Amino acid sequence: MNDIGQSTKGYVSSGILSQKIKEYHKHARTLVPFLKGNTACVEVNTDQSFEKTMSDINVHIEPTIIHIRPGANSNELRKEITEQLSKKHGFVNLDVNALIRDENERKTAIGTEIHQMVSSNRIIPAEMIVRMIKRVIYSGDPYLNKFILTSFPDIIEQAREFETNCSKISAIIYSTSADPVVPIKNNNLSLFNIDSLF
Amino acid sequence: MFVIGPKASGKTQVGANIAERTNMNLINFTDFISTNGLRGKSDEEVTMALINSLSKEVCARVILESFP
Repeated sequence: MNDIGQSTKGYVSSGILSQKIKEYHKHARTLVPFLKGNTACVEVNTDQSFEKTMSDINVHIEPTIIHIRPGANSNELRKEITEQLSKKHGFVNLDVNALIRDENERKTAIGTEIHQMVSSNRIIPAEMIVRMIKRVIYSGDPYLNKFILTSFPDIIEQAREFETNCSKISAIIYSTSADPVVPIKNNNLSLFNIDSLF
Repeated sequence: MFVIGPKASGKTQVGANIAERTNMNLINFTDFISTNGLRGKSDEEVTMALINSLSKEVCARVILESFP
């Protein structure tokens, strides 16, 4: 998995490497069963592609994210679904527009950064929004692991950015009513009506 | 969070990726020992130094590589 050569920092000769591996396995005989029995220990195979390894790991560390898409004509239904999920199932609704306003009002680093973008008439990049959401999602509270995203992602680039650098979206709910399903697609729309934010 | 595994199994790469994705700090236990002058000290002493260091974190969100 790693690029190891004599010129690489931290190079270990094969003799020492095999000794270290042997030593690890000697201790692992008692350590691993102990960790499995007493902690939320998960074993992951790293002898596969890095992407597959990370995907196996992410299943265990990522929260449940439900994205509720705006329906064609049933905003009320969307609100109702969000409310039910929050009240009955403990989901936290992450309203990105409200988060941006909060960050801006509190003049946090990301809030200031966003404010500068908006002041110079630039669209807030998906990377910045994901960075902001990430701080909430991975705040360290193990009980905060179920979230609803209602106003983000709006375009495919944002969805990709979110899934690449934050978390997989577990489910998408469409309030379709009589209309066909609304897919996430690149429609070249900006996420926000910027004027409404500040 | 602990990341353990044999030498050259990908702990550093995996740890760095998780840290980046989840806003955590990655601490390599071997580096911790060298930077704190703990080489050659007993397991108990080293572990206590680590606990003391972690207890000073305001909000400990740490991935420990190669520990325990």
